[in-house]
Amino acid sequence: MKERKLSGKIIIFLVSIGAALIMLVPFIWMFVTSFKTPPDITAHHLSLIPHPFTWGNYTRVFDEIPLGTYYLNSALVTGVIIMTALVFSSMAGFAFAKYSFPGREFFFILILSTFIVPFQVTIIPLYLEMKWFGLIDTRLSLVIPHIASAFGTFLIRQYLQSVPDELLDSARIDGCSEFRIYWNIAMPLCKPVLAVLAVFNFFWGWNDFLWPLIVINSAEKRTVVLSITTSNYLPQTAGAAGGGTEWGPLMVLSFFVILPTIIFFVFLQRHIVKGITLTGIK
Amino acid sequence: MKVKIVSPLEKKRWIAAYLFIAPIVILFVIFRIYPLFYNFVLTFMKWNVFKSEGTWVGLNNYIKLIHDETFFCALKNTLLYTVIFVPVQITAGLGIALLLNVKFPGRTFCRTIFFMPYIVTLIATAAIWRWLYHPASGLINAVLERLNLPTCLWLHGIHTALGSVIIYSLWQSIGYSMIIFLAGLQTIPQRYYEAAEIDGASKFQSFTFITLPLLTPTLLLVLVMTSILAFGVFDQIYVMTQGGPIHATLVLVLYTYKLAFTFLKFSYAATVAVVFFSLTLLVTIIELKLLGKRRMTY
Repeated sequence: MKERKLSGKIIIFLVSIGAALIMLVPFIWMFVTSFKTPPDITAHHLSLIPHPFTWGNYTRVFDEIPLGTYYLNSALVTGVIIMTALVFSSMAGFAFAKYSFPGREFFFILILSTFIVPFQVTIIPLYLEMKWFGLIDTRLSLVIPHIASAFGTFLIRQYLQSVPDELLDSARIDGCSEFRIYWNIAMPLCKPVLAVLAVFNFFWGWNDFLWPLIVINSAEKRTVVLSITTSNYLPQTAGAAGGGTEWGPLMVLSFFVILPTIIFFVFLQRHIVKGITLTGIK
Repeated sequence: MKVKIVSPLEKKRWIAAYLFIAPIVILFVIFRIYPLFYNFVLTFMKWNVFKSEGTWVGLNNYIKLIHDETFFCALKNTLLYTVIFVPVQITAGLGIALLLNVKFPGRTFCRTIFFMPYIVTLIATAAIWRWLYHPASGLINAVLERLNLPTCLWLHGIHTALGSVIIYSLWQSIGYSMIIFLAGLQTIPQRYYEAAEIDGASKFQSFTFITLPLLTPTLLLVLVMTSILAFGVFDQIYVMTQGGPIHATLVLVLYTYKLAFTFLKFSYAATVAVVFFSLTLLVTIIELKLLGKRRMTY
């Protein structure tokens, strides 16, 4: 009986490791291709060691793509998204959890109801609205859809509901203002859930594609994610045959696009997993 | 009628609460609720992009929609994508979660690897897969050739393009359902399985009579979330095929995007978006009703 259990475990081990390695293949192949010369790329080699080995694709990308500017834009936009989302949703979440006031249910349901409206539904009126505000082709317009997200408000409300009211009341007796109760008492308690929210907003902001694609026109305002579809390495006119696609530089560019997300993932994996299992939201 | 007396202290707290929620409520009304409402208004207009104004045209956009073959093609592709993607995603995600719920060395490593594609930038991995799928020099066909298996046109074949995108999407998002299922599995007490083993239940029996019923809420969550994800598919199709070859991978969101930002038909695009929204809403409600009823408690 024990032997059977052990052999079962060995099979599970082998299957899982095998499947995990297959999952890794696209990343490995990206890396391998990025060091290959154009003839070697099209030659149908399966070899994992590029021969001849070249840095050419890397130098081309550094010369042709203003990666520094793109990184800076992405960092700026994502940073502002995280800050504003944390402040606004924690304030609202705190009020919904700890105050009773007329219209509380109404406003909460109003905010929650947008959960069921996919963002893609409102891109057209939102675009017209941005045009009206004169925000087209600005980095500020990239921030706006993310601030107005129901997720953070909901998460923080849930979390703060478990905090006893007595804690806040005792602070009131000591003469604390409502804002100081929020800032000095509620927020420090919220640290773990704020961390989860920050991590989520980082990935949402950094990986956002459809909205930047719509509102950003100028090259100097592009985010990192837009670099792939706007580069000449993957021409939109390539069509079915994919003619004109330059796979070597494209793989280098892909590497630099995913690099920050991989670094963040490695360091913050615990928070991400906790956040997803906490909420089920991506 | 009972008159409620509000103390000044209570009033002060109300004001504080309103100030706390004001920013998000204002942002919501301007950037979420008003656009949704305005999207419906747009469907009854013909929008002039250059003048930035609309003229009322009644139901014209909806009549046009009924006669639009491209729209029905996009609708069909979206439904097909969802019908294949969602069940495979759930089954495979559950399978991997069951596998990685067993304790063995390297388990954490495997979980990390399965989850990684979901978190890294989708646009980049879609570009990488486009390279893997390349018919002449891509890795997949090269491997198939070495194994003496028939090769395939993948993204470039009318009949294989949508399937190829689905395979990519499964690779990309399998980690999401895996993580949720793993969390769900951990909430099932170990003693249920021990009791079943004493009663002589087989592994398969304890799966169907303990694991599955207790996992129903998790299943429901994954079902709703992956359906919404599937209906709204856009990014990978934009990078991998642009809706082609011909219209083989054209989906509703891509059609909306192209109508609005390539052909500048804003009001007609809004009409397609309304259909997309109604469909998402309908499916979510049906799924919640169907599975919500079957929820079991032990």
